[in-house]
Amino acid sequence: MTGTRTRVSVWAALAVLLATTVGCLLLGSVDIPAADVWRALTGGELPRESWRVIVCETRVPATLTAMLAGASLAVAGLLMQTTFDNPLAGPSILGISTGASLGVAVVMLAAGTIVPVVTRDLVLVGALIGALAVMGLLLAMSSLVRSATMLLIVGILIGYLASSAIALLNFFSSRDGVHSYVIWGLGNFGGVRMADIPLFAGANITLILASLLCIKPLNALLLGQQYAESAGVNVRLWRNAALLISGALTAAVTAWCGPVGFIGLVVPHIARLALHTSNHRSLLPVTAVFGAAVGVMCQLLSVAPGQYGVIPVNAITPVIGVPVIIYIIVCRRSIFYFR
Amino acid sequence: MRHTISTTILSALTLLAGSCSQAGSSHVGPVGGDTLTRQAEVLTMIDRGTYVQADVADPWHEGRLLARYALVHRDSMMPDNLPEGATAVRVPLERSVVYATIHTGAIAELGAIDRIAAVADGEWLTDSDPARRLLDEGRITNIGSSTAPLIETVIDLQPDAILLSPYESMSRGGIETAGAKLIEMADYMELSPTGRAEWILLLGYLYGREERAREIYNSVTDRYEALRAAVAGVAKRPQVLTERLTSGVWYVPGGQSYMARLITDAGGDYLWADRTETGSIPLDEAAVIDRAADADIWLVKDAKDISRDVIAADVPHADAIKAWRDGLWTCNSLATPFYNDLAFHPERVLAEYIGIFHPDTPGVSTGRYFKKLK
Repeated sequence: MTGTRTRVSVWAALAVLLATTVGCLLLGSVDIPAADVWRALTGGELPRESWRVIVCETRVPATLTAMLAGASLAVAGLLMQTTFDNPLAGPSILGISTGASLGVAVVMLAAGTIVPVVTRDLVLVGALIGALAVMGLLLAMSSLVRSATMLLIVGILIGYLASSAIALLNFFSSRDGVHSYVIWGLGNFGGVRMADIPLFAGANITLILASLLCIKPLNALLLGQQYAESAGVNVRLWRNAALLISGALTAAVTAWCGPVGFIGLVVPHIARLALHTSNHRSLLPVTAVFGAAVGVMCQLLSVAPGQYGVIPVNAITPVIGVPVIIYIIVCRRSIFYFR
Repeated sequence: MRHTISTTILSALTLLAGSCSQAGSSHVGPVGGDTLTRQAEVLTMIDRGTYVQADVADPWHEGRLLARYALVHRDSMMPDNLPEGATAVRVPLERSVVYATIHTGAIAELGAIDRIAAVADGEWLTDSDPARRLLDEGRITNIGSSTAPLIETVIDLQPDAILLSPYESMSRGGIETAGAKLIEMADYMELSPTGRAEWILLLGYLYGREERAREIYNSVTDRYEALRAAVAGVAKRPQVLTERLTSGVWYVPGGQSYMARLITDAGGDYLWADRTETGSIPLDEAAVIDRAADADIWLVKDAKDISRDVIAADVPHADAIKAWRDGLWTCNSLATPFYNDLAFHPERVLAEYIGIFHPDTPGVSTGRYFKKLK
């Protein structure tokens, strides 16, 4: 029965992924006929060469980025929820994405007086440094704080500290700098160039595969920290491993796409409800597939207005995420993994 | 005799060494030219004969460049002595995307508005902007927000060049793949009004309107200098305050800023002229009133018409400022060409400021941008 549910869920997610991927390749601010999109992808002749650039250099990388970012954030969210035994934990709760935001704020709002032009690569480096700095701080705290709940609280507090630094930078910045920073904070899957996709994909896929090593310890943690320890699981080690992997996944996505909210929080719940199991052996890979589908769905909704503009990603993810969270809160008693 | 032989040998060796190094080098480089710009500090343009070199300096690091362009006429052969690191741009441009609406006005004045294929933030173009009509007729495309433009639309337009400000670098996305040259319009980094106006020469060379650009610029600077001289020796300079409190912060222009210079040139006594900042200074209400209690003139700009009630709501102690009673002037920056004129016609803004500060000065008036609140 579980096997059937898993198979059906995966095929459904793949169908959604395929449909939304096709949608992302067909839709955009320039109206390109479907046949020409296919020709662009297969190297055929086109009435306008610019269409090949649009399809291959903007739509394809944006779609791939959405897929990978969605999968990465979903897996990171699942690791957080199990490790901290908190259904409302997500990639952003530990302050890692806020750390990335602080790194970007320093680059955009303060470093403009040091470097002449704030380039995209500089923002990327700033985001990575910020995220990894917070992650390093959390790992260091993990050796001092035994309780997972306390570590979660430390992460939240670090996030508040980073937010206050961001507020200060905004206060002293120019109007243009603040506007640019706000736009970055709305999230964007279109910022990864085709040439950067191998690096982005390589990093995320490697980390998602590494998360598979955590399946057994995560299953043990489902029964409680003490049970896991009595079963021979080195809880602190695997907690740090989960922290490292989810932190790195969050850092990579935030650096390239901005702070994308809700996907990491919501998709693990969608996967659990679909599979009706908390066994990470099936839950983890299915969460990744569901995350990819949700990511691409968000990208499709983002470009749906076509020539009338682009809707920021972070204006779409709450529309998907909030109803799911409210359902979970309201129907908590009847949901199997809360009993 | 021995001395002559040794000198000759030395000279010959020197020549030989020089010619060897020249023969070994693959890059000859530019060899002099006439400097076209006079007042701009960020922009330097040099006529090298076969091309015009345009250097955009890095204002934070003396001696470093933000960008270098070699403007080569599209009917000419590409010169082989272009400076290192220069982006070769074929001019005049035939299709361009212009991010900032302040540049569309200048391009229209040069008579080259038909070379604009698209603008950013098109919804903010006012009726007085020449590009507005073309946008409404569908002859110019709106590519959306300058910080988040529709990249696909820009690529599809296949422009020769994209004119954008350096702070918009972040939002370039895949624009590099469009194959267009990116022109860094860093005119807003100029600190002197006539220096910023001189950027019209760059636009002139980009759009093949060099003579017209020179004509406009000369007329602007002549008028600006004449106005400045008219009030340079005034006996009394009114104290001038600008902007207002918004969300608890009063951003006043720094003492070395563009606006501060304009106020001083107009015969005003700018209250923060002693500060060395070139950007805005965030202050609270108390700090402003401490210095501006006796201000004679208070200039407030907003993107809409504002009344005394609105200002009073934002500035609780506005009545502690002398200018509140009989020196308050407001400007609707969207309904007036204030920012467009500020960039390339600072003499018009200067004339209005003089009209406000020294109304008896001949040849000036008010009402183009500011109106006095009774």
